[in-house]
Amino acid sequence: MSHLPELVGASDEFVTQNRTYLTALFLLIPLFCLHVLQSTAHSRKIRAQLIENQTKDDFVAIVSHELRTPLATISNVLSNALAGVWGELSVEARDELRTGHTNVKRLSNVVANLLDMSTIRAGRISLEKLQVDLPGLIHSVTQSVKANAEEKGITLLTSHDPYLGLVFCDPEKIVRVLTNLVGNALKFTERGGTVSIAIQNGLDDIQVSVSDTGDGIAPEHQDRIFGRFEQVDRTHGGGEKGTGLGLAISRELVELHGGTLVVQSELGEGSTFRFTLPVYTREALLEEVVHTEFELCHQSDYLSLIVFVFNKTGFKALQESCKVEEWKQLLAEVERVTRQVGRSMHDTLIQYGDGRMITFLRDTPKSGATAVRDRMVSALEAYEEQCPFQVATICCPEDSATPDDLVGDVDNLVEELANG
Amino acid sequence: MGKKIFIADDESGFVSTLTSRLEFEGFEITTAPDGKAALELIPIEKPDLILLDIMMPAVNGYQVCRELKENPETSSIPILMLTAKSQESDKFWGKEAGADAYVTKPFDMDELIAEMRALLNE
Repeated sequence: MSHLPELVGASDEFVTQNRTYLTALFLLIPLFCLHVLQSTAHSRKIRAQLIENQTKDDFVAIVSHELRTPLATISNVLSNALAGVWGELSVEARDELRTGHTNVKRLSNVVANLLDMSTIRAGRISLEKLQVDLPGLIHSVTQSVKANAEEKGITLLTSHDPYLGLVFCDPEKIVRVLTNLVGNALKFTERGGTVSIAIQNGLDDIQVSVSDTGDGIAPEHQDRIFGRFEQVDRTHGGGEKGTGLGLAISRELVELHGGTLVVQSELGEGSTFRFTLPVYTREALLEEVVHTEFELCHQSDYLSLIVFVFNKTGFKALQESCKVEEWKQLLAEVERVTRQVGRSMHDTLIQYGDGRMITFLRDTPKSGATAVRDRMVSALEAYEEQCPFQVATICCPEDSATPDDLVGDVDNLVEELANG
Repeated sequence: MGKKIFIADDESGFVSTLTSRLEFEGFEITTAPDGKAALELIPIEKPDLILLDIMMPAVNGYQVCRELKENPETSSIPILMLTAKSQESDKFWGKEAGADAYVTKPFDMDELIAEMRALLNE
């Protein structure tokens, strides 16, 4: 106890010397406590949100399974009857069954759209982006609606810039957007009308427009049509009634890509729905693909890249001496051969459109990548005559320690090989 | 003799309607009501194509797919996952398990047959 006054004295002295710090500390303690309390409340809120999301997800899963299988069974029965599995049908029976089948399809569509909307809103939808030949994608959509257009006497027109490169997007989602827009255009266009799909190549984005010669949409309805379950009075071209979710889903899917979907229309003048997809710079494309591929490595932290590069001068001379379709064809052939000798047809591959191409091998160390590279070099030998090329491997973490290092190193390597 | 198709699905009504149509189209059909039976029968039956459901009792479709793709006797048989599961992650895991194609229920029968013929190289 005899030490107490001494300690107290020391304490007073300590307080005097550190008054400013201690005042700050005493002010900070309640703030910290408040923060802890708020954080607890916040985490409780997050937990409640998570439970709510889980409930929504469970709901989606249950609805998905419980409605889809019976619908599939009913659809099969009607489709089998119409296909003549149980014998010839009278004209009346065929008409009635066809009506039933159309309505089952419509119901299936409603269920699919509701589930999609729910998945999108729960933030559970993800994009699987690839480099896509957009005109090819549009061709597949127009092929699928061709019979419908012919039946309704509507002309389908498509156009695009021949210099349009590959577009980095999720093809499945973009097909859904296109199917929806083209489907709507056909639905609201009168017999003898035209539906045109055009791609324009902008500096910052690619614009895709779907125009019809229908009756157009009144200005006061133009915003509403993108809302959920909205169906405004547009003069029908005799098509079936939709779910009122198609445009809302299409807009969400385009926005997920970083683009926009808008409408331009005047009553009596038809409508144009236009969506954009961002143009990726080479750096942005490489960076996004490298990081996505790393996230998809499941068994290890290895990511190997095989870099194929046509000699810069040689490829430029080739481009000048032949038609654009010819050198594009050459690049497509090199990609096809590369995929055939690669590890899997599903390996990610990006083309820069100027004779440079990168194949990504997940969970593959340098030794595995070298074996693939050797196979690739011998399979591509025949193309050496058309233009000299070089193939090299670069691996993370063996050559580049981190994904960010890899992005920079690949860029340098590509440049070196193209000039070498 | 038509190509041999194996259907593994626990929904008997669905399997029956699918079988009727595929037999009508000239395919030869064998079925299994769960994953365990599918794993026993497929190596014996050696079908040309497997239509596989995901949510099945005993062994689920992902496990069946993985085991068949790991077995050298069955690894080359194409597998088409035919399922009511439609979430993005479901498709991802289906492909990860080695499925060659993925079709969600309900589907257009003509499109399913076209997809099957493509997998059978017809």
